[in-house]
Amino acid sequence: MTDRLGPGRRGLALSAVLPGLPQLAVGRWGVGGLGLTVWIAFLAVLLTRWARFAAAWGGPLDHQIASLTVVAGLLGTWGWSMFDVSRPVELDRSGVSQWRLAVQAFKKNRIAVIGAMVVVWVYLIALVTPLIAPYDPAMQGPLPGRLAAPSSEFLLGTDHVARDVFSRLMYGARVSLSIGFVAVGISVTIGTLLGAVAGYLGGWIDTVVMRFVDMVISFPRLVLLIAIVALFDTQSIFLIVAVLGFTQWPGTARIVRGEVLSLREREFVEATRALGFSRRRIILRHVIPNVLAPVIIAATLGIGNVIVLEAGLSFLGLGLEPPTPSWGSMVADGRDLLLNAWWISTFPGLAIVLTVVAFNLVGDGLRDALDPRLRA
Amino acid sequence: MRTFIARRLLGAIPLVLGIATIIFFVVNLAPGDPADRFSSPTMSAEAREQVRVNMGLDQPIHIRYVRWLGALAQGDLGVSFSRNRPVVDIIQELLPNTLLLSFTAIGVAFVMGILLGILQAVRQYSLLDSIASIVGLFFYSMPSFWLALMMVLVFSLFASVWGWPISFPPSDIQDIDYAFFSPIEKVQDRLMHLALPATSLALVLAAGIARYTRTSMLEEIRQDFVRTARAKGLSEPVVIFKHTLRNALIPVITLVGLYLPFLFSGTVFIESVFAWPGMGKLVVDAILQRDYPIIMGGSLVFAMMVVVGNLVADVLYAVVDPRIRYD
Repeated sequence: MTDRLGPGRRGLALSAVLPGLPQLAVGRWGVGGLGLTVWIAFLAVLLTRWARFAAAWGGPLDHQIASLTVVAGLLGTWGWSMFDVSRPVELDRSGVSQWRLAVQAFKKNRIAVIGAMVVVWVYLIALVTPLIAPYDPAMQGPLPGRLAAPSSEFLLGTDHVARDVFSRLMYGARVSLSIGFVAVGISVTIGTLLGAVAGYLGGWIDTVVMRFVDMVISFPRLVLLIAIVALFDTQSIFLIVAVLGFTQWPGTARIVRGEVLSLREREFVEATRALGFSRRRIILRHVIPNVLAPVIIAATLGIGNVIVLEAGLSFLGLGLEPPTPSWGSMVADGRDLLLNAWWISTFPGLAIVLTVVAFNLVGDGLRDALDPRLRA
Repeated sequence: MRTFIARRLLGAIPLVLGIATIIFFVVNLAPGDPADRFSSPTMSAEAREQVRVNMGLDQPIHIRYVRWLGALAQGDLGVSFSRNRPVVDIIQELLPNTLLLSFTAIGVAFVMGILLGILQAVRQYSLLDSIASIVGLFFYSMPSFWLALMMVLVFSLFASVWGWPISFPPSDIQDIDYAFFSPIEKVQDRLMHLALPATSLALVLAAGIARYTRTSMLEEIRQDFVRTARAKGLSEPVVIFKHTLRNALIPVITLVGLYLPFLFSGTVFIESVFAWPGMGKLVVDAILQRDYPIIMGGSLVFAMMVVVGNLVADVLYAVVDPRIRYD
């Protein structure tokens, strides 16, 4: 069975014009659809926002990144599709790794693939926002334009100081997504290391670490977060990321420790001990790679969790300083205007839900794909 | 059994002590001086110092820590800076409100979640199952404060604008004229005020519980003893409720303990959205006012409720599952 059009002229020509379409044509709708939509959308951005694209290179960093994303996206999609089409059809199936099996299982999970596409798209939109946002998110319009209902001019209406909700929504995505990503990065690193060390070494180290984990887990995290952010009185993004990251790890540590406890008794770990490897090497090279599957799942689900928490902090007025838009603070902005201008609170909330649902779908899909017992 | 409970109780003591220590140092090591907020810049240096002495802030931190722990052991949480009342009194006044809200929410959530989970498991892969899974995922991923605002928007504001038969009150715990109501009206009024906040809290939890119950039911429903029950001709409701559900609910019990921190985090938002006079709102307000005794006392009460909840879940787990040994 072939899973792509052959390296014939037809596939190459199609791929050169519309990368992704050849893959779509053979039913690989996930990557194909993603490639095709990215290609078309970024071309459209180039055509309609050429002036901003050209001016961005000398502009602020986020504009440069946006233009770079467009170029990289276009080149990447095109190059990937051409490479994919021109690869020989025969594939060496002799050594199918666990990861490849997992990828295949994930691809079969339609709803998880949709989630992954949404996640990629939300990140892409966040990156190219400076090029495509219709208005400046902090720009306050003329007063008569306050609380304008959604219309063709202001797609999602305007808020109490006549700022465009749609533009703010797009800029807000950057805050939520970057905080989610970095905080989970911190927490996963700490959680995996501490969990693995505690589980592998056991003894008093294990007791101390796990007692601490118990303590942090049985604490309403929100109260701790609010306390730290409010008492330290700086609304810097670094503090918020650090606090979210440093309070998220106990869950990961607990999962990792549980896995390591059973791994420790397995033959291959025993073999590494017999070979006289150092404990550092055993933990880093032999134990941790084998607990990565649950860690990846926890991380994906954790991003959604952190996005909701950050939105909550912003909602309580403890997030980033205004006028930086963040989804949580936008919901708070519309709170007292619900009846007059329901759109201010509603749309940022929907954005949060959509993003978090997408991450959770991917997380569930990964769980099914990475666990051999659940693989169909 | 008794020794099991006693051991768990003893084990909880260092846990609570550790939590109390973390709370104390997070709050007291934060930069800034709460005395600034309660004295004016025009006051003389002596008067400012007197404020600090009154608040007990003139002592070094380790002395304050020992004093605070000593008072804590006697059930004294100090005096609030901003309200000039003992923290214990304030908590006693507000804790019932929070408990009312959270117990209603968790009760509703478990009933809804378990029923939905059973239905989904019995009709696995049906249209109902897929729709419930997707809708559940959305609620599960929803920030509770946003859900609460949307509930207010639809069931309170729009409901009264569009002239629906009932529109729920958007805030507070009771009507202004509560004191003049007859007993029946009082109960009615309380339920009306409870409806939106409790539902917003419950929906988010119920989605998770339904998911968990579904998985657990599906695991049990494939077991041999269920086939045996069916084979000997028991009716389907008996098989599902008496044989399968009982076993499937065992892991669901652990959710009680797991969800408590989420529940209390949720009440912080819900109380803030609905102006519900409870612990969550108290602690958030205290943090913004740098009212250290209330922050410490309130967070400690939250943490202790979580610890106790986990303990109850553990004990319940041991009670319903005879396979678990108590040692």
